[in-house]
Amino acid sequence: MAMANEAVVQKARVAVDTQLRQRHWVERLAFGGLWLTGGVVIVVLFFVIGYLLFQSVQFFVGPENVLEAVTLADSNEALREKVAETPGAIGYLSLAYLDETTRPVALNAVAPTVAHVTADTYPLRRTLYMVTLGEPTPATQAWLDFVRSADGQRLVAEAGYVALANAPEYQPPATTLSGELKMAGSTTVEPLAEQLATAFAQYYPGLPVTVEGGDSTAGIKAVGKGSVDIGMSSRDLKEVELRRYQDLRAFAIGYDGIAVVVNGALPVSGLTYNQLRDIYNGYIANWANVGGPDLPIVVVGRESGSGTSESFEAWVMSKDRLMQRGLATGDGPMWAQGFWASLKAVVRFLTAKPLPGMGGKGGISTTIITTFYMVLLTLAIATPLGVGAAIYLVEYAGEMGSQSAGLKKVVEIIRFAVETLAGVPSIIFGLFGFALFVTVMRLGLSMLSGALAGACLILPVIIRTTEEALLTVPRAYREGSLALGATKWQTNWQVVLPTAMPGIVTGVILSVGRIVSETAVFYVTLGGSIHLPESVMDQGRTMVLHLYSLLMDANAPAPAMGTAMVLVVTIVGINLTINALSNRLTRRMQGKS
Amino acid sequence: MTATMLAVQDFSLYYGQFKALDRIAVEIPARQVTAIIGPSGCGKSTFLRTFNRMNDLIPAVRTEGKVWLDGANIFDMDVVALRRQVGMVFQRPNPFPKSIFDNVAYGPRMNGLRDKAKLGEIVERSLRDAALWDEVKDDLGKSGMALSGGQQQRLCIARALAVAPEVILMDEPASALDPIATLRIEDLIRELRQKYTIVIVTHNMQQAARVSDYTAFFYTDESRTGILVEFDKTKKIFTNPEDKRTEDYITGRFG
Repeated sequence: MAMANEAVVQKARVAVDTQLRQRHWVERLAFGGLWLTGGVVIVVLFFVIGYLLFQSVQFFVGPENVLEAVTLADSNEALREKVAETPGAIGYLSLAYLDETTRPVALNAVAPTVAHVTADTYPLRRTLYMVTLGEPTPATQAWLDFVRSADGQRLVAEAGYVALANAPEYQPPATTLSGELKMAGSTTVEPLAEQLATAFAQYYPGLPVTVEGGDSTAGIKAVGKGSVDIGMSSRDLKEVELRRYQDLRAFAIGYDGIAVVVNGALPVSGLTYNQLRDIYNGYIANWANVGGPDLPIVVVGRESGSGTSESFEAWVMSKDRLMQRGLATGDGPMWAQGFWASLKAVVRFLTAKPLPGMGGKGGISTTIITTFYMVLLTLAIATPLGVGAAIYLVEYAGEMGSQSAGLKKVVEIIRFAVETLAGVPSIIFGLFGFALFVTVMRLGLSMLSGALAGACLILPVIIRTTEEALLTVPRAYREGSLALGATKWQTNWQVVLPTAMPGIVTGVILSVGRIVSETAVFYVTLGGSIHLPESVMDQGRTMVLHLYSLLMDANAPAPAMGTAMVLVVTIVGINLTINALSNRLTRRMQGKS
Repeated sequence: MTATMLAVQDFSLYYGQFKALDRIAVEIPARQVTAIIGPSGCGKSTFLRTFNRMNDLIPAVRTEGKVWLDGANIFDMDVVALRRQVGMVFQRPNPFPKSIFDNVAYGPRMNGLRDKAKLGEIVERSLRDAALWDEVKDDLGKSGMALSGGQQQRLCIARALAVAPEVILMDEPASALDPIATLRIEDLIRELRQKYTIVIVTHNMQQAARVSDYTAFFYTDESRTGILVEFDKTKKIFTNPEDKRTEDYITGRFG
């Protein structure tokens, strides 16, 4: 009998073991799944942050930091005209187009003159090219021979450009050629080419030359595709062009300087490189900042295909080029200069005001300050309300609720409302804020409207976190205090709230993050002014709103990336603060301080 | 016969419809230790919490009868004033998450005392009376939570002493402590008898026999309504009880 019993027990034991082992496997699998999910999430997060970091670094160090000019002109003449008629205007054009209608500006104390370009002391010097595809044909060779000869170069110099050195005397042709020579491209080269063509016709009457404009990029494209015989370019060929149209050949036909000009009425005769760069990046927006009168700077530039604009941006904006030409600011190795230049770019971005207009130019300083204002204002409204409501719900209503069924019901409804509101999409709060604060209460689009709507948004967060924090305060603390003859009010202030403080602080800081990253609510209640608000009734623009506007309205992804990086860093900072604060408070509570 | 500190007359207590204590009548003598013993669920703690009206915190509780403290009905008194005269030490040590000094000074401060020197005096005296001074005097800024369990309980006693009560209620004050800490608390209770009226609930009959002068035996039947079976000098209760049920409980037949 005893034996049989033991056998039964043994059997049962084995069954239990098997069951446990099976469960063990299930648990292992479940844990594996969790690990995998966690891993994937972490990897995704790292990629997102890494992508942002990479993009924003590109923005801060690379040519992406070049911001387009406010006003665009599509030729040298148009630009000159615009600068001449616009007070406070600055622009750049080919040396050949300099005249008395605008004032040329010396760069780093070197005036834009032919003499300086010839001696290669003027920094913004570039080469003008005729571009062919493959070996020149007899016709194109004849043209090139003429243009690059002393005769041709005399015309180059007469047009205001700088001639090639040591050009050979022109040998008139022994044979004649027939057909047609078509060329297109740079508007800088175009008028010169027309004069050259007129002279060329004396020698080759059977080979008429047609010259069309466009811009350098279009010219190179046309010759690459074979639709013209010669492309005219006022800039060097690009890698990508050499790769796309194999065997492009560029023949120098002269040099040009790019002159920086300002409106004739401006008493500004010289700028430094850094000033010029800052003006074109939007960091300097008033002539007063560079020693001129108090007048806004109107920046004029060229359309994007223009060789002049590409050369200008490459020289003025690219740190590498500046350094190669020995024009960078500091001393020391290149990488260090690059590092400092990038750091300066970051600092400028953070400290400069955003500029009006569609280009997304300038920095983000006012949006940072506005974000800070909004956080303070929203918290000032929501924290007392939220913490107060939570104290009422936990410390008072709960107790009284068990005496009065009606009150209990009310408390239940409030709790349910709080839970539900926490899950409502924020645009609904925006809509509500717009209807109530902006329209009905006539607060208009303002920081106050935004803060009130934002307060509605974070109220549930603060109430919930505070409630949870209060509920974790042991009942024994309350009883201990009351038993010492403290009143309920004293108990709440002296014992309950201090004990719940880490949780409450966490909730408040969480809401800071919520406000910093809130888009929808502020989009409809805050207005979008890029200026710094001077009172709570002014409009404003937070960083997130600015980011949204850069992406969607200005179509300027590069500064948007920079703004995004600043935001992410802010959020990371907020989370680190939460950790540090709640660790410290908790440690102090446990007596380990 | 010693003077009476707390006189309970015909006292009943209800949790909603449920009657938890039935017509209790007892006179608790001043400057003596009175132990309340009895099986679990007989209403000992509920009865103890009547004296400082901690039961008020439970909304469903209703009472009948009277309790006199020094000639005043406690149910007519301001509850805050009552609790300043009747202090309490709980089953589990519950120091506040504050420094030792602030824990002890809490009661006087809530009474409006702001004078630093006076607070310092009170804190020192209370800690001395609670036999904790020598262990913590160099470290009054340390959090009360950082002390050992026994020290925490003595801190809670000091905290109760600081408001200068007449009565101290103790709800199984040593049940969460180890034997050595328990002994120290018991020594302390015997010391405190000289200045305070002490009412202590305990499960431990040896403890009741060791520390108390008087003992009240509470009992309950299937109805779970608590009644006071017998109240007398501890010596009498433990050697020659009047009631059969007391004898059965003391001798360990049940409970």
